[in-house]
Amino acid sequence: MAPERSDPTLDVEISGIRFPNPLLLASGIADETGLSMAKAVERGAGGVVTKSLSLDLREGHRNPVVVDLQNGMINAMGLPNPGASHYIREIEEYRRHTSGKNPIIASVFGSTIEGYAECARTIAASGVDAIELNGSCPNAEGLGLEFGQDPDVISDLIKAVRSAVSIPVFFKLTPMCNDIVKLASACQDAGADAVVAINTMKSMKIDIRTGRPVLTNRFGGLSGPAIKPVGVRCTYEIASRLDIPVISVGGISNWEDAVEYIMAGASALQIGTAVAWGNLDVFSRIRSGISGFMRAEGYSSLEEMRGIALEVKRWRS
Amino acid sequence: MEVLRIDEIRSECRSSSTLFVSPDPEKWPGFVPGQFVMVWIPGIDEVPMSVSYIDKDPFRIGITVQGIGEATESLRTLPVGSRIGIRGPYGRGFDLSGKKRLVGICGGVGAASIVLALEKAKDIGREIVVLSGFRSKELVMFEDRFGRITPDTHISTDDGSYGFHGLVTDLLRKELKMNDAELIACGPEMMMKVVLDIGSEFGVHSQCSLERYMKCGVGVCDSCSVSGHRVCQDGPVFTDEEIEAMPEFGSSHRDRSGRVVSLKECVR
Repeated sequence: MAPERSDPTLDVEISGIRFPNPLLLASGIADETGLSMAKAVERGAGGVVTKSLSLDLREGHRNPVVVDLQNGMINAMGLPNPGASHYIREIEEYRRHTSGKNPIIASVFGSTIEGYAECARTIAASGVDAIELNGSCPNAEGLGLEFGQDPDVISDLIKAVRSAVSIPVFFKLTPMCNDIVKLASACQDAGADAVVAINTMKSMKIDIRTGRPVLTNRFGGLSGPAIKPVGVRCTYEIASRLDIPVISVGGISNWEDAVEYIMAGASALQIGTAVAWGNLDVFSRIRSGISGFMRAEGYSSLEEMRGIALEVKRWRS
Repeated sequence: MEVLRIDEIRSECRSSSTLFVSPDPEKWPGFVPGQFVMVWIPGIDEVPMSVSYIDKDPFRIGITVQGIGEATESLRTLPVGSRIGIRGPYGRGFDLSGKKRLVGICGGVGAASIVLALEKAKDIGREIVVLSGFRSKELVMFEDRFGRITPDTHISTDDGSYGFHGLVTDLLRKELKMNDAELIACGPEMMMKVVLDIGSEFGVHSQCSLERYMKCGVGVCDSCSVSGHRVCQDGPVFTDEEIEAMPEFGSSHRDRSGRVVSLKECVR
């Protein structure tokens, strides 16, 4: 009888930060409070990304702020947050209720490059493990997306934040561009430690009975299974051209989705909409699904599986 | 979301009215009293509301609205035929499967979800007691419906203008004996805090329906988080054991930005 195979390892490391598994809670989902994020970890997340933070408090848009569709969700929360300095208590709460093995990444935005840098500095002081720059929120005018569609602006932004903090800096990209490789390349050249792809896509819903746009903000960001093929394509394009690690996000709701992204070149994954649709058990469900698949197919580490779709010679029969 | 015309409006008391709409019954087979819907008032707001009536034939639902802010006041005063949007039902409702005597205790418009839950509990053969408190006589609602569920219905008013003069929780203390009942509660948080205290004093288990500022209603935004539990998805009904592990219960909530605000400062 063949010896029992040991369980495949799921831990990953991105620029010195170790995650016990590659499944992270995406920014803006069930992450307003330290205890909520701790609960995601308790239920199987490898780490978490905070709600996007700014220097000053923002209340966000008025309701309605979400439209639930069959294959996706449109949201226009409008980047509500209590301000980075007030949010430090949530980071502390998270630390008190987790073992220290699950990194926490602070998502940051601003209305100017200096605003981003100052916000990153403020929240870095709380001891977060990395900064994720939100340069791609499509539902708050003048914030986010305006900083994420021009390679020169991306470059200036990353350099400013790099010099403001000493922890790793990730940049979250929009799929709404001519060439995502150009944007990711600007990130790599400016010294970002990873790119996060993709943010939601600007979209809208009109109610045909009343003829009104449903969202108070009219436009929102589309997430969920509807955008997964776009996320896989973006991951693949970036991973095939650049060395910078890609943290993929966009419509992951089961282990097959997760494996597909890893084969496209993802180093880690973020899960958002599926948390809302199912519950936090999605993390442990996907984790055990990936392990089962790796055992069945004979992969012993994520590294063996990562990016195999990128090279013809690694394809299997 | 389904956009529907209001079929009928029924005044329940001086400050509350019920709006009836007829959604697609296909979305409602698993409905449990205590669950809620998000109601879109076009051009105004979208607010979470509990369901207070389920009519079977033809299928329609009732939503009882107390005018307490801009959104609820505009919803309450919409004319028949106006269009509103309904998402849901969402969340976890009351577990009515127990065997003991069921005491339903409510304050103000909290009666809306309790009355429907007790009607269901009566259908499955449970012995029921109603304790329903209001500020004063002109705010009393659902007295007829409660009376049809059980003659053991007790109304209290804070000012003594109708029924028992005092707090509904005073009635509860008189009603309970050790280990002889289960409680379901919906009302102001300070009332439910007292209900839980009295319940634990008498060894009686409670389920309470919590309320928080809600944005998405589907577990995304975390606005309604109470000590890491999302009222919209994990609740709104929680058990006494779950609430015991929530230090924020009875103490604080989150404002629109996610900042912690003391419950006493809560103005809605």
